[in-house]
Amino acid sequence: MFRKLGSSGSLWKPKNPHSLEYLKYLQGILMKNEKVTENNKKILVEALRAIAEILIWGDQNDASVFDFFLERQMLLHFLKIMEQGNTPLNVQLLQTLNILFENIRHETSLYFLLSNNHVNSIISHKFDLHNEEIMAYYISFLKTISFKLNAATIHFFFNETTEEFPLLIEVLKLYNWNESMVRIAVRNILLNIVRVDDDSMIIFVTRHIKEYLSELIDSLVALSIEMDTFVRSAENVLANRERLRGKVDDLIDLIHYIGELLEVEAVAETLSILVTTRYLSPLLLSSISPRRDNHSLLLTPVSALFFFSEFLMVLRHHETIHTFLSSFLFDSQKTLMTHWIRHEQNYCLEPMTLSSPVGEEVVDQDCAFFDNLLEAFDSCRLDDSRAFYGLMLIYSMFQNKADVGELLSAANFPVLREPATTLAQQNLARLRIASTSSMTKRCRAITEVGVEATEEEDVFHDAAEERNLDDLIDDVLADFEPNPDDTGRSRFQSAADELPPSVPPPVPPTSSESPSPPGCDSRLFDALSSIIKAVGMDDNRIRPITLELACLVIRQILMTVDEERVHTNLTKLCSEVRLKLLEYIKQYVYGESLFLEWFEDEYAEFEVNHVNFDIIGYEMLLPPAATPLSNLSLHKRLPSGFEERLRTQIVFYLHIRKLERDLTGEGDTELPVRVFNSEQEPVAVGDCINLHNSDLLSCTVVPQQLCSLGKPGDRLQRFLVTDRLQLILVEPDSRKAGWAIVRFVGLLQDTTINGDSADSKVLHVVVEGQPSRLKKRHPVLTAKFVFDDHIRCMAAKQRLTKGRQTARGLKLQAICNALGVPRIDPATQTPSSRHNPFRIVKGCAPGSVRKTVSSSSGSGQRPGYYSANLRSASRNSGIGGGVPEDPTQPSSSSERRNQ
Amino acid sequence: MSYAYLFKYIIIGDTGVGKSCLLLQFTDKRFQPVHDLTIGVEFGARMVTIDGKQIKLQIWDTAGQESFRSITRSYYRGAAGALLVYDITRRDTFNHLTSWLEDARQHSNSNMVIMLIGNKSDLEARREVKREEGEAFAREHGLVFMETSAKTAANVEEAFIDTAKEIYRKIQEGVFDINNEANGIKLGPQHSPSSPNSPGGNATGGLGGGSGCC
Repeated sequence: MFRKLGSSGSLWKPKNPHSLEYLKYLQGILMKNEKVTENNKKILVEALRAIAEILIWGDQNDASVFDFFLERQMLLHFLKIMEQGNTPLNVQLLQTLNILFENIRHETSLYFLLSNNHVNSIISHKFDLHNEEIMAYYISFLKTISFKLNAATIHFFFNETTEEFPLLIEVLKLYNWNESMVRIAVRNILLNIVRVDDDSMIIFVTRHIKEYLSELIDSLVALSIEMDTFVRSAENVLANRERLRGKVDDLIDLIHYIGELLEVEAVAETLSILVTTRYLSPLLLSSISPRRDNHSLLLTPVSALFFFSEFLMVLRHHETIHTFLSSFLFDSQKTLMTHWIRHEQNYCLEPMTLSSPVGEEVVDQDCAFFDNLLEAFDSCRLDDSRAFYGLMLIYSMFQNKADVGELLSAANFPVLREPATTLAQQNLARLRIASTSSMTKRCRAITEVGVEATEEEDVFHDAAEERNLDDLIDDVLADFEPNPDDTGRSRFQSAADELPPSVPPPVPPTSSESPSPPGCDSRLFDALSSIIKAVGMDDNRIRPITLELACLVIRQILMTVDEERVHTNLTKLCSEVRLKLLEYIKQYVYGESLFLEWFEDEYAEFEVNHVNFDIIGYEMLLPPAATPLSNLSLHKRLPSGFEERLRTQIVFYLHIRKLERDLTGEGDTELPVRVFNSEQEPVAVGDCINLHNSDLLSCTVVPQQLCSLGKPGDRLQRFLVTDRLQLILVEPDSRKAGWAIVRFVGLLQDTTINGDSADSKVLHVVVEGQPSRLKKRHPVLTAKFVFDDHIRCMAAKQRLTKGRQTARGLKLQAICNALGVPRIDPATQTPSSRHNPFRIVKGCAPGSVRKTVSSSSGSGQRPGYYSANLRSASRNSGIGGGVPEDPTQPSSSSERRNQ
Repeated sequence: MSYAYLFKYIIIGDTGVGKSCLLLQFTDKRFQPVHDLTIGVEFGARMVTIDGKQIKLQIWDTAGQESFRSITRSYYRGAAGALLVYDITRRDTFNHLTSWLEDARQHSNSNMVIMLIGNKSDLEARREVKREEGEAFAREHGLVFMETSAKTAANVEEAFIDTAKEIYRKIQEGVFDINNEANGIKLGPQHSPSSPNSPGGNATGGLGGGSGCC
């Protein structure tokens, strides 16, 4: 490759590619080939590449290399080549520059590179940016450079006297490029720029970035409206959820970006005002209050609450959050003086003209927005979406990092404050009893919120210092005048002067000079209670996740509220609802053969903390799904069919039971249910146990799937033993007679066995592991047990079958004890009264050739069980004689209980 | 140059594991690592051929962006493939894999192909992480695994190309929505109607399916 270079002329090519001589040689090539032609293109590309390499070598080994590069103004050569607009050459040039700026270690080398204005000329060179390749290298070049920006280097890029800052100006042109990587890079570069600590640069930046920031917020507005439109009309299917996720992610990225910009002083003020006056007030607040103008573009309350929550969760900029929240908590609709209007394809922010006032009283009402939030909970019988997002909002207020505790307290919004600390700790102690680990974690989160709230007072006062923002606001709000007679203002004049006039002033209500801490707006509590109440009603449309979140929020509030009345009322309500749910559940405890599995599965599910807004936040925006075909797990949708309804009721029951016990401070000793062998501890793998005088059955275990015992095809000599609850496989201990080492343990209740139609000495055994918070029910052993003869096989089958029945009976009894269900004499128990629980409507698939549903799977049972039972039934007639199979029918299971 | 598809990759992993060197080694083989001169770069593109199709790979290194949540989030989502790199001579870089993976999984689209790379395989004498450990980690998390050396170029081609093959396979299976730019896949110029610099510029723009008017 290098030899080829030599052929370009009479230049002498040094042998060592890493030497000053070699750079001189390369410079010669550039000199000789000033004009780019088809012939020298390749040579030049290679020369540019080699220059990068040698300069990096020089940076690390030989300072004279850089001296030469500078003396000969080699960047000037670069520029000359660049101007000829040859794509491969320009790509290589940009890549050479990228390599230079990326790999240089010595500051002096960097300064050398930047010391004349060539880099700025390259930045503002008119590249053919519609060429994808050029664009990618160009934006990478700008990004690489932006990482070199600091107070020392900024003056190489920003010229104060000529008011030139090509990097900023060029990058601002690209913010809306149609390629996502470019847009991301632009954001990255801008963040790097605004964080440079240089006063004169900041002045320049604030002046030139204003328009960009305004467009940024407007794109947030557009994105929000677009997403809301989508949510209104899309069905809750997987494809739409994925599409929605893309939209939500874009939006949340943008909120994060805004949050990161707000942390930079240089842009915070401008941006904060823009966010408030263009997005938060006219779009979000307007959307969570009654419509006043038919032309206003409003979001559905659900979307508005969602965006609001996301803002609170991401943003930590005190002033923005404080302004917005105080407006939300205290103000009347009159403070909204602008609204978004659609003009053909565009959205415009316009002053609101109230031609037909919708009842002055309504508009004049304080706390209009907060009231609207409370209303969200009343509607929860019809659809819990609004309630869910109302809860999410309250939750995010607790989570917010912007030190707004005082503000929330002023609104009688229960947040821990200093005087309340000890009280709250008592409450905390009360609530913590018998909590699961997840609960304790939640509690800890609350105390931390509380601590922040107590520490925040100083910050709060500092933030209210005088700021001369008039100019800024004039610019931002050039379109319209603030209401001159000030009727729209909040009533708290004392603080009004300390804040920008455009934003509603925060500060506690004058009516409660010394608020009795810690208060809680009783209406808030009533609203939350209404969700609990709704859960107890027939055909409610609450989804388990909503109840879970409601319980979480209620717990958070109870940390701070120590009113006997509140506790008593809520306990009473929980108790009522719990009994109501139990009334439903207990009909099926004995009648449904799989009740045990359902209960255990749902208990495990109940122990999972589903409240993770990174994941669930957006899914609930679409109309609630009511079928497993939606691919949503049960806790995020409405139940379909009998089994799912029962499962949902069980989860409801568990949540309410937990909340009730937290309220009374009573621990739950009965759940999770544990049944022990009366005489001994359960054995574990690796234990050495005494098996004198035990019933032992010798068998060969052949795993069918990889398990702790071995891999498929292994043949393992083991002895089968059972105790009251467990199936145990042991291996004799070679040193102690009559003792054996435990190799496998599984619960008999979760063991299913089937005979083998081809071999009467064989049993097919599947043992499932218990479901837990981390793992769903799954087989831990799937194996073939081969016995010495048919009789021993029969004996094993009988023992395992009986053991299973007994174990299940014990477990079920323990569950009944925990639930408070009286033991029903199985003889009088009629089998489940439900009949044909599934309904199949035959019809055409949309847009398809006529096609009917051919069959359905049993709805009451999981598919695996269903098919397994089919198999066992057919085999049952062939072999196995009088040995009963697994209980599959309610009738057969109750029969056996008689034995 | 025209191509059938463009795949965007990101490279993630701790600093100093050799991400940018891997990138340069793959995109520009002319840089021969000699004299202990390590050169890296943050961006590179290269054409590869898979199944007779020209595919352009664009690789974006994410170094230095860790302090901006908004940026990392967006990068993850814009990529079809990710190379998760650790240094076999530094145990800590291996220990951090879980948190990198969590981040990637949380923010990327669920179809993103992740390749686990144990880099610096040439430094056998200083090895701290056994090959088997890398394999086990990959198996546990469903990743493809490879040990590479940006220095000797061992397996570098394979790492990038195998990732591309996996993405290509997913496209063939219809798993990827190739019309959604947010997936990090772009159709070549001959496949897609030219729409330079569309207004609005958001990644999912133009998807109006089922949307009504408010």
